[in-house]
Amino acid sequence: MDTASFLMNLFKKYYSNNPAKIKAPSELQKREFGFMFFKHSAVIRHLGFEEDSQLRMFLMREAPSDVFYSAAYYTHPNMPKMQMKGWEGCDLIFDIDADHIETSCKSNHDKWRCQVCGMGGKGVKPERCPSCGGSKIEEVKWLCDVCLEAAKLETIKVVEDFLIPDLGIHEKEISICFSGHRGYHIHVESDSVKELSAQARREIIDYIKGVGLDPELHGLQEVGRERLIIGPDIKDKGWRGRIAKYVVKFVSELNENQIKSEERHVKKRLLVVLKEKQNILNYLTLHPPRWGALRKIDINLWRLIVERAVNMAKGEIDEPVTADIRRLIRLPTSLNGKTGFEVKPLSLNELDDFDPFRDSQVFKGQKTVYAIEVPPFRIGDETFGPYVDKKVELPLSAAVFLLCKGVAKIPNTDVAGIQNV
Amino acid sequence: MAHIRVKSDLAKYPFTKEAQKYIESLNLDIEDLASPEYSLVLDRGRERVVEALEKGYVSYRKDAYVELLSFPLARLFVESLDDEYLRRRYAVAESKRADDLLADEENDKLIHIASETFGWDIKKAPRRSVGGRFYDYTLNVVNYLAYAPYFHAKYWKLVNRFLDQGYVYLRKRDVARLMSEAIKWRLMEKKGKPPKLPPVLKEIIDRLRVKLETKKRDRGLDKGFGEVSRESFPPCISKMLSDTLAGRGISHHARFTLTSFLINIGMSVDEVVEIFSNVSDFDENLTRYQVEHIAGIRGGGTKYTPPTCDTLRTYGLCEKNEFCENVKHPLTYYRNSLNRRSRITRKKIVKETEEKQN
Repeated sequence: MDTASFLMNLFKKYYSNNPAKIKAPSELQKREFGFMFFKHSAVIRHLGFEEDSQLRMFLMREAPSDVFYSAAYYTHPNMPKMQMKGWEGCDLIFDIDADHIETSCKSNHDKWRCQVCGMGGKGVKPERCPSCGGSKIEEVKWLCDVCLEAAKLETIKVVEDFLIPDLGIHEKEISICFSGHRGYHIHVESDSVKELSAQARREIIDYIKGVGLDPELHGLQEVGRERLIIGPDIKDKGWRGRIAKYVVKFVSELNENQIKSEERHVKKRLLVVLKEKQNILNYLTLHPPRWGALRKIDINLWRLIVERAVNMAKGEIDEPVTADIRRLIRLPTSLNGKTGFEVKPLSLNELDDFDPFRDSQVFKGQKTVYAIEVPPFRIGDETFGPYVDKKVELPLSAAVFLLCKGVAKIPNTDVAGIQNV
Repeated sequence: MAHIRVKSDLAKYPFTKEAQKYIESLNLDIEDLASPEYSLVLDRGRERVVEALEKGYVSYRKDAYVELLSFPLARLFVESLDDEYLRRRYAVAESKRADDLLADEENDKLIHIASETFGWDIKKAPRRSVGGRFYDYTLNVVNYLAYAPYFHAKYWKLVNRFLDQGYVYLRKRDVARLMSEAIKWRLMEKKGKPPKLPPVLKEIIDRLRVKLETKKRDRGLDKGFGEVSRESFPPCISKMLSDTLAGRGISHHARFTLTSFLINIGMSVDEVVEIFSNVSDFDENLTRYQVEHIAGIRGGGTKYTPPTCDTLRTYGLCEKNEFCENVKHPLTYYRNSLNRRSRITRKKIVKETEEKQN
């Protein structure tokens, strides 16, 4: 049996045995659906369903590798052309992906290969091949605890620092899910966000990412003839308070090691900050804070510090997902064909203890696969690999993961397939 | 006194629900307007459009009845002329008028108009300072974001605003500005032509049409872009083009922007495909398919326009220069730049002929 058939059968069984687990999105009749499949590469979209049961039947019958639905609401979701669908509104979606967060482990476990000249390397793929300049570059991204933990912390930050206190979004309007691969999605469903234009959503993105932030408009300025420096208070709300808080955080965490890698002129200035560390922390935690009490730190140096602080404070979200008001997004409770993991819906409380390598595993049983080139990975409490060109017997979830990732295949001799799903 | 009852208020803000109701209650017919007793109203209606065309600003006149009734009439004129340039210019001019009046208005009345006419969720701000600053209102962020993104100063960016619990803290002049933007967008909506007009009105419209055509000719808006002038390209497009010609690939967004720009200024599909042939992974069939799609020959038949400057900035494709000030779209830059060049050439020719004659 080939890998595609094997995975398709497994997904089919999963959808057949667990129909109640599949949750259709709200206002199902207004959503467009899209699917990808194991046996061909075309994306089928512009599909609509009238009832939950139809969607479940479709999943049982077709066993798609990936299931997407529109964050948008349409009058006619199944019309073949976008302009015929009648756009009515769209949920507000945020995508937090390990791809956009810098973690040190990526250079160990991510790989790329140029499809034109065959050159390859480790780490994040370059935009163009350094050898031939081609742009068709294939990449294999791995998942690890470090990457996913970083994405999880970022998700909590976006919700708890931005969506709830600043944007005033109610917790019950927010649903979170693990994407089943490298990150998390946040869905905000409410009548008021539905109508936000793409431009408005871009402003929200910039707000969360701190793009275009001018510290002066948040109170950092020189006033009066004395040119006394004033600035925001850590007790303030919104970006004002965040700036003050993160300046304190940045300064308190600043150390010589960190400064070493900076450019020369920046290094000199940050050394001044380091020297004044205790004074800064004392003065900025007063109410009101005394930004102007330190002679050695002028307004330009404060601006540099604030820039660094904003960088620490911002939420790392993937812009296009939020800005695109016609985008398809993975259906929570479906399976992710890149891993075989469940796209798992989570409450904010559940998120804290959520372990994607344990809590989104759905397959039970054992399976022998031929591992081609597999970095170390963990499923549940067990760690596996690395494997190179080796036949291994694994728990079914682990085997499915490798097969989905394309780093293992079904051994040729194998005929007995799936018994213990 | 929050409510708008006085006729002078209605005249100041003829776009409000109350004003519209009042006008409806008069039960006027288009034919009625043709009678001599309305001649002042007709004059003022015409004048509103002329002011918009010539000064880009509609003044405020104290004669309440005339001021109020002339508003729907002016709109009728604009709709009858059915010209995008005029529609926009008139909308902007009326919104400026409203902006000035609203900025001087009492707090309660402002809140009343914002919530009744525009349905905004707006409240008086708490009477305490935020870091030494006092605000007049708090406005629901969703309402704020319906219009603020159209303003390009960093002052208006949400990230530079004091935002708490879903409410943006604003001063009176900010709210006035946002409301005037809302008015502008309302007036830019096409209403469709009125059925049949009495001769008096038709005559006014004909005179306005002559004025409009003259204005457009002066601004060089009466013709297409003419011959493609690479010197007039905005810096972002120039960079995408030179990168492509040099065989350096550009991102998907850049490719879309460049293609839609070139198509919109009148280049043919063949010419555009030719430009992309320099890129290393060039695939003629695929490129042609995509270019034709953007040109509206394939797919839904929509001819795409390039993204706005805002969008280009978000995608990191903006290459701002000094002429980009106040420009919001690459095609606007191109048109301005063409006009600038033709003015310079015209001056040169005039100067040369003068010199020759001397």
